[in-house]
Amino acid sequence: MDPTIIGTLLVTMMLVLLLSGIPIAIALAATGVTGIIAMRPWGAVEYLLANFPYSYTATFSFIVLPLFLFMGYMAFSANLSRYAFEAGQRWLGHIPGGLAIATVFACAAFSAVCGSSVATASTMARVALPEMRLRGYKYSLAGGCIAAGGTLGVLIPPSGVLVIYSFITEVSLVKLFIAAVLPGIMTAVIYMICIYVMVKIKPDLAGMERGIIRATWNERFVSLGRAWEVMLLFSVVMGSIYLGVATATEAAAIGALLALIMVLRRPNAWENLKAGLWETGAGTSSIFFLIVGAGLFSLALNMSQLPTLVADSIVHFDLPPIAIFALIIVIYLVLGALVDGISMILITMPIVFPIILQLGYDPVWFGIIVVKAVELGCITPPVGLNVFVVKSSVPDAPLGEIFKGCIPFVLMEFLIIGLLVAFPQIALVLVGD
Amino acid sequence: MVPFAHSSPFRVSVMMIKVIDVFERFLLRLGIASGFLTLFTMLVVVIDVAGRTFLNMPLIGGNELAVLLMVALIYLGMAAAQQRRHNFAIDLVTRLLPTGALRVVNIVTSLISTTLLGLLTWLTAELSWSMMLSGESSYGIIAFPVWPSRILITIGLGCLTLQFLFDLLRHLGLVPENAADNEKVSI
Repeated sequence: MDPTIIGTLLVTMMLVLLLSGIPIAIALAATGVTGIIAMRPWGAVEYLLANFPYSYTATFSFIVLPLFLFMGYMAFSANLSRYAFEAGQRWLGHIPGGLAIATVFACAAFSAVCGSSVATASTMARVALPEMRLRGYKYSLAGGCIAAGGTLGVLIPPSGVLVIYSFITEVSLVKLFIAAVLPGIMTAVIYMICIYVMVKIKPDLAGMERGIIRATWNERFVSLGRAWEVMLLFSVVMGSIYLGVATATEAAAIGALLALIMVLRRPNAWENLKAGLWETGAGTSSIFFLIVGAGLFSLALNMSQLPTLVADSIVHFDLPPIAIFALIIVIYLVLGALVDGISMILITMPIVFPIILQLGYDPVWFGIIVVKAVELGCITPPVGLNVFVVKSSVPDAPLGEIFKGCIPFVLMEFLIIGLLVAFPQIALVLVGD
Repeated sequence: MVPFAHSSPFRVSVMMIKVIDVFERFLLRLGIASGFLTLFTMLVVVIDVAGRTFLNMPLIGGNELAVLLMVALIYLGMAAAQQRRHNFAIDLVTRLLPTGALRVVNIVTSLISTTLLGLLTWLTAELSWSMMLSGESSYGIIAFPVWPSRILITIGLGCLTLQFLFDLLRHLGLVPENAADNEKVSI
C-alpha cells in the first residue's frame, strides 16, 4: 500500500481513537505502532519498539520537566501567591478595578515561578477571589480575571507548555523562555488596561470599592520586601538562564531546591512536600506517557512521508503564507477548546511543524503563538480548564458568570495574537541569534 | 467500596479479587515512591553544579545517575497515574453515550490499551534481558550501567499493562470497582 495512504489512514485511526475516550497517549501510541508494523519488516519493528521507550526518554535535558513541575508545586504550597497579591494590592489597589488589576499582577508574578496555569488560577482563586467578593466585585470580573490571569502560567517562563514544545520540536528551550518574556509582560499589561477600562465604563463590576485606602510609599516598599521569595526564585532561575550561567536543567534544579527550602520553613512542611512529590510524579509520568505516544505517532507519520507531502502540497497551493498560518491558528483555536494544551501540541506538531518550517516562519516565534492558542483554550468552553479550577476553588461562583467574565480577555488574546503576528519582533527581540 | 453489581457468566474468584486489590494498592504506593525520586534527581544535579562551580570537581557519573532516576520516576509512576486517572483523555463523545454503549467502548479501549502495552512490555523485556546479560553501559568518563534503566522501563510498562488489564476486568464486570479509589493518596 502507498505509504501516504497509510499515513492518511493513521491520522483517521488516531482521530477515531481520540474520540473513543481512550487515554490520548494510547491513541497516539497505538496508531504509531500500527503504522510502524504496516511499513517495516517485523525484525525492524521489534528493535524499534523495544528500544523506543528508553531512547526517547533517557535524555538529560528532559529532567527539566519534573524539576520545574516540582518547583511549581512547592511555590504553590509555600503560598508565594499571597505575598505577590499583597504587593499588587499596595501598589495598584487604589485605582479603579484595583483589586482585579492586582490579581493579574500577582498572577504574572506567580507565573514567573510556576509553569502551570492550573496552579496559578487555583492559588489565586483562593487568595484573591474572597477579597474581591468582600469589596463587592461581581463574579464575572473577579472569576474572569483570575481564570485569564492564570493563563499567564503557560506563557511566562518557566512554562511547562514551552518545555513540551521544545521537547517535540527540538527548538532551544532557552530561546523559547527568553522569547516568552516580553509577550508575557505585554499580555499582563493589556489585561490590566482592559480591567481598568471596563471598570471605568461599568463601575458596578468592581462594587463600590469602599474602604480601599491608598497605601503609603513605605507600605508599598515593605510589601515588595515581603515578596522577596518570588523575586529571588525568578531571578535565580531566569537570571542564570539568561546570563548563560546555567543550563535550563541546572536552573530548574536550583529553583526546585530553593522552593523546597521555602516550603520547609513553613507549617505543614512534610504534608506539603509529600503532596508535591506525588503530584510531580503523577504529572511527570502522564506527560512522558504522552510524549512517548506522540513520538511513536510521529515516527510512523514520518515513515509514511505524509507530513512532507502535506507541507509540499500546501506550499504549492501558492496561498500567501499568512493565509496558511491563519488556517493553522484557527485549527489550534478549535482544538484548544477541546483538548488540553500539552496534548494539543503533541498531537499536532508532527504534521504542523514541518509546514511551519516550509513556510519559513521562525519556530521560536511560532512556539509563542501556539502557547497563546493554548491560553485561549484554558478560558473558552467546553474545556476551559482554568474556569473550572476557579469554580472548584470557590464552589459558590456561578460557572456561566466566570465564562462571561472571560469574554473581554478572550478578545484581548485575539488582539495580542494579532500584534505578535504583525510584529514578530515582540517575541524575537530578546532572543538574538 | 462500590458493591459488585454486574452479573457475568464468568467469575473471578474472591481470592483473585483480593490479589488484584492488593496489587493495585502496591502500584499506587510505587507511584508515590517514584515521586520521591524527584528529590534525588534534584540533589544529584545541584551537587554536580555546586561541585563544578565551587570546587572545579563535577560529580562523575552524575548526569547518568540523574537520567536513571528520571527513567524510574517516569515509568514506575505510570500505573498509579492511570489508576488515579491522571492520563489525559477526551470524553466529549463518550459522555453522550448511553450506559450500555459506553461499557462496550470502554471494553474495546481497555483491550486495545492492554494489548498495546503488553506488546511493548514483551519487546522491552526481551531487549532488557539481553542488555543485562551483556552488561550494557554508557560510553563516558566512567562506564555507567544502562541496563538497569531498561529493566525499570520493563517493570513500569508491565505494571501499566496490569493496571489496564484490571480496568478491562472491571469493565467486563468480572471485578468490583476499585477499592483503592476510595483510598486517600498518602504514605
